[in-house]
Amino acid sequence: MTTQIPLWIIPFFPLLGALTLGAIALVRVKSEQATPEAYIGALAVLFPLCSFVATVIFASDMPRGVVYAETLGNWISIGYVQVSFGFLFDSLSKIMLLFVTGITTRIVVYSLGYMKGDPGYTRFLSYLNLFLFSMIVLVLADSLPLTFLGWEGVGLCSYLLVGFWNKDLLNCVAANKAFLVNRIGDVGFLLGMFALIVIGGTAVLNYETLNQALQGDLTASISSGWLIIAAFFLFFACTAKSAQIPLLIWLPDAMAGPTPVSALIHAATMVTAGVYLVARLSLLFVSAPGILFFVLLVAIATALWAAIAGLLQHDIKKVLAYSTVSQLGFMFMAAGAGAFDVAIFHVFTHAFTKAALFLAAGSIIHSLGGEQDIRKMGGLAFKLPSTFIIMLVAWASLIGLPGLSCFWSKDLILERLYGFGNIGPLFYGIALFTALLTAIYMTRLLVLVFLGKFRGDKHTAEHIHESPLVMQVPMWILVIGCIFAGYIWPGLPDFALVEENHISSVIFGIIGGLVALLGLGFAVFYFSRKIPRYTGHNELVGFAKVWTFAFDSLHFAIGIVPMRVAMFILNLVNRFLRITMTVIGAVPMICAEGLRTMQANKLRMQLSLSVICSVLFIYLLVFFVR
Amino acid sequence: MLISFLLILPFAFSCLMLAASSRDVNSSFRIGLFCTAVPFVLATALVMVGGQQTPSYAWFSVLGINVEFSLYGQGFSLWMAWLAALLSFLAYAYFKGMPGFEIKKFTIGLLVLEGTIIGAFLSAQNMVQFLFFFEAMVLPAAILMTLHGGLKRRRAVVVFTLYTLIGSVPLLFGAWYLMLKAGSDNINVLAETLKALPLSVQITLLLAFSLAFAVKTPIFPFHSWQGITYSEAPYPLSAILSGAMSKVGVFGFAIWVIQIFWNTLQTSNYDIYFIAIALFSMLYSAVLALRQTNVKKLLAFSSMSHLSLAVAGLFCFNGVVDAGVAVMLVGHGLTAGGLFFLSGIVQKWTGSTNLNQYGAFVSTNPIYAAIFGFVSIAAVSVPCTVGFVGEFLILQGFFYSSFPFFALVGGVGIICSAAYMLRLIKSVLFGPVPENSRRAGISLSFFEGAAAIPIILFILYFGLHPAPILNSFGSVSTNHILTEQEMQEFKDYLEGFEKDTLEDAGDVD
Repeated sequence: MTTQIPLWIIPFFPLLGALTLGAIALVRVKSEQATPEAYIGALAVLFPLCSFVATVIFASDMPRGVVYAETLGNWISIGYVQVSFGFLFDSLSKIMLLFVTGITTRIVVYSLGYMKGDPGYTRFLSYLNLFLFSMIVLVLADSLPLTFLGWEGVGLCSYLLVGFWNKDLLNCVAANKAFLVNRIGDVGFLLGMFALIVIGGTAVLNYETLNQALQGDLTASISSGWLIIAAFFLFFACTAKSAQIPLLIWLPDAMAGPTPVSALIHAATMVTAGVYLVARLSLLFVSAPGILFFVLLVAIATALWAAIAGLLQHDIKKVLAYSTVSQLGFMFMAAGAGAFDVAIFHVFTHAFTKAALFLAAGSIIHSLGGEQDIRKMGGLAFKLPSTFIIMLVAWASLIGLPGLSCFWSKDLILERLYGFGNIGPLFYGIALFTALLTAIYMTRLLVLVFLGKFRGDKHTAEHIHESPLVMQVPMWILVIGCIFAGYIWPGLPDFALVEENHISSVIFGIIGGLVALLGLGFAVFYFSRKIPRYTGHNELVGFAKVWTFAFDSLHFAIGIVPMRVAMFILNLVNRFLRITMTVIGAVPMICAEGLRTMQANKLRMQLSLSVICSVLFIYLLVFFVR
Repeated sequence: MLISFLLILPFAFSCLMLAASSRDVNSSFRIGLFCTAVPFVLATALVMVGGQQTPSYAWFSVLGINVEFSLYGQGFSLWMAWLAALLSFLAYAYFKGMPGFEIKKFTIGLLVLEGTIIGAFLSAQNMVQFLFFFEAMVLPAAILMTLHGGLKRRRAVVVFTLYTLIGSVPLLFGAWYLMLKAGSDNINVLAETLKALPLSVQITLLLAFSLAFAVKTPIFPFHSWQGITYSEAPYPLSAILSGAMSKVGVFGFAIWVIQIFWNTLQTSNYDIYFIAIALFSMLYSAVLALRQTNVKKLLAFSSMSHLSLAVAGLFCFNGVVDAGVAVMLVGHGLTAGGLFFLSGIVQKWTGSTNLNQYGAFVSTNPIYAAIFGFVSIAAVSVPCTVGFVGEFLILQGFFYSSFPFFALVGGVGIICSAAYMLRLIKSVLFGPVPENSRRAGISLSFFEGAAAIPIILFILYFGLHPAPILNSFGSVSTNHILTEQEMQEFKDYLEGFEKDTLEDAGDVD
């Protein structure tokens, strides 16, 4: 059973969209007329939608266990380096593609309302299409180099979109930070690929070949050292893209971008690329001893740290950003425990939930005229009823109230953690505590934004309005995902790698639910009484500052300070070299100057000198020749 | 035939340009455009037929040295010559908008410069011929700089000329010594002769040769001439200097150092020092690029950083890496040349080379911003652009060699290159318009815009399909550092592996 449509059609549509919209944006630069937003908007939605439809067609046609692979041609082909363009459509890429294209389509629709009237309207939509293209390539690629193409592509789009409002240099700084930190991770990606090349030539950069090699007797014939190096560097790359310790510092800053971008790139899709890569290379990570445990440790530390940081923020988007970091930690926990399918399950449910949360936050920011500080909100439940209900459902899903989508995935993660070796219960305890913190900070957000009285100024209060339909509809669709995504999952995965060892899922479910309720109750009780006052400035102080910027300080100490010192020293070296050059150069100059005084006007002296020299020369010549 | 024309035509056209009018600027420009376009077309044709080479003709004989003349257009030589022709053509097309250019003199100088650079690249067989072009190219560059340079051009010309000429004196003496010993100037004879000399002499000669190319590239610590030269030269010339002429240095390492001193490097283990110095040079210039406020100096250091990596790659002795170096050099020629062109346009608009005077071009001239953004992101070597293919091949070569640590150092250099490029983009394109910043005639002229199109297209084309460059290296010898036996084991292993894979596939059916 074969489909006649080629696979490349899926990334082709958004690429076409990006090029078309980019061309329109450039051509219309000088135009005096207003942007025809309806027409451009329709165009911008059309391409992702086509891509989504194509994915659905592929997915629905695909029987279990069948894999579509397609090679388009050579990319780099010389000597022992043979890299080709090829796509691979299996159950993992199927799931990723379904929600990536699906959620992108909805968020593009949302952006049509959010970005209305912005001078960069067309450009923004073009970037979104380009992002979708890169993300599809990342997910659909059949080899690491092509994944890397998508990997850098999404990083580039993230850079362009975070710094979208580029009049403000602060946004550009945030964008540069995002790109640079990701670049550090990218070097890890490259080194990981090179380590794999050392293991088995460029052939093993292909996922299928790699898995076959790892299942065969290759693991016996090579030292596990290279495997560990490869897995380590590839995971290092994931810590940048998926914002884990130590490279997580860029994600909170990336909230400088427009909110649809935060929802799409920095919550639902791009940041989960790291989890995808680990799941894609699951066999490598399983084969390299010790790496999975390392992943688990990093993930747990990240989840806990970010959950506490989330509790300390005042900016609504920052709360959600740290929440994303924390949830990504949960996903890596699952991967570290060997439950790669569960990790992808959480990616899937979290995508809907966090996208809905961000879009609702965007809707709030939109209706408050750009206000992001939750200390200046409050009492919005009745003013923005639709947004409130959306936020409520997504919130309930994220904190893991039983029955909603994130409950199922989080519950599975906790269960797998418990079953992880002897120290499983310890990790389970920490993760459960993190889940409790999740419930607390999310409820704090909800209470401060929607309950109590409005704490902003009067002018803003008069202008509060519900967002337009074009923004509402995508959010409602995502809410459906928040509720039901957990149920449709059991039909999807067929790439489970680790044997399940069920203890008793019902007990875990009950404990998880109770913890969520406990956190919810505590937060409602505590934060509805103790409302933080707006202190006149947005910066964090005291412990909150130290905790939140702990890793920024670390990077400053081990990255920027040595760089400045190196800059200082090397500049001195450079000066020294330049002075040396000038001094050495001056010697012939001075000599030349001296000689020129002899030469310039004194014809007689010149003549006599030449005569003397000629005589000397001839004398010497005769003397030596004889 | 084609290849001879490629060498002769620039010189012939420069003679023809003597007859052009210096008053009728437009007609002279059209003639000049044709004169620079033809060598580019020829070079492209040469690339498409897969390269050519002429047999050796006896040229003259002196002091018992049989000097021959031959043109060699394969692999490195071919692509570097193509790049030189392309950049000269684009520099010419683009300069139309530059104020205060004397078109006739400029055209003649440019054509002679192009001819000498192409000549140097095509001389991969005969020493005397290479030395001639290697020294000759300094003069037209110096003359162009004197004609159209910046305020401190006198000093720049002196520094540039003296530094590069003095730097190549050891090369001249070394080459003469070796040729006297060999009685020929053919590269293969030279390499054979060298093997018979004592090791200390070999190393002395190696250092003498390397010095000249290290100055030309340049590599730390012989780069002091570069900053002032690039910043005082007119923009089209800076583009050619960094895009094409600096590659003569790398080319010299690739051909005249590595091919002749192959055994010396192997026996003395000096190759590791070369890699170490080149990588240090890469980091050094990348760090210094981070603190420049003069856009031309920033680009000069960035260029030095990339070329140092290319030189380091050459000393891996790995055919795949050599091809990667060629790809990287083509990529660097396109991006560095392109960035010099584009920053020249900004200087025309603002009248300044200071980064603090730029900014906000993304809102005042989005088309320019799109081009500039694209080329500078390509300079960071993201995949899809030609730079990535080069860096990928070079860095994997380090990892594959006996010192994987160098790949990590190269990685740090890549991070730095992203840092200074992002800083450049930020200060040129983004932010508000700075106070006191002059903004005049902010629109791209036809030729300025058109010159950018081939750059963008070639960056993308070779980024997605580097096969034309890679194939010109033929069937490369793989890792020289592995011994024959190791190589055989590796092959056996791969074959066994493929067999297993096939069997597995069979099982599935």
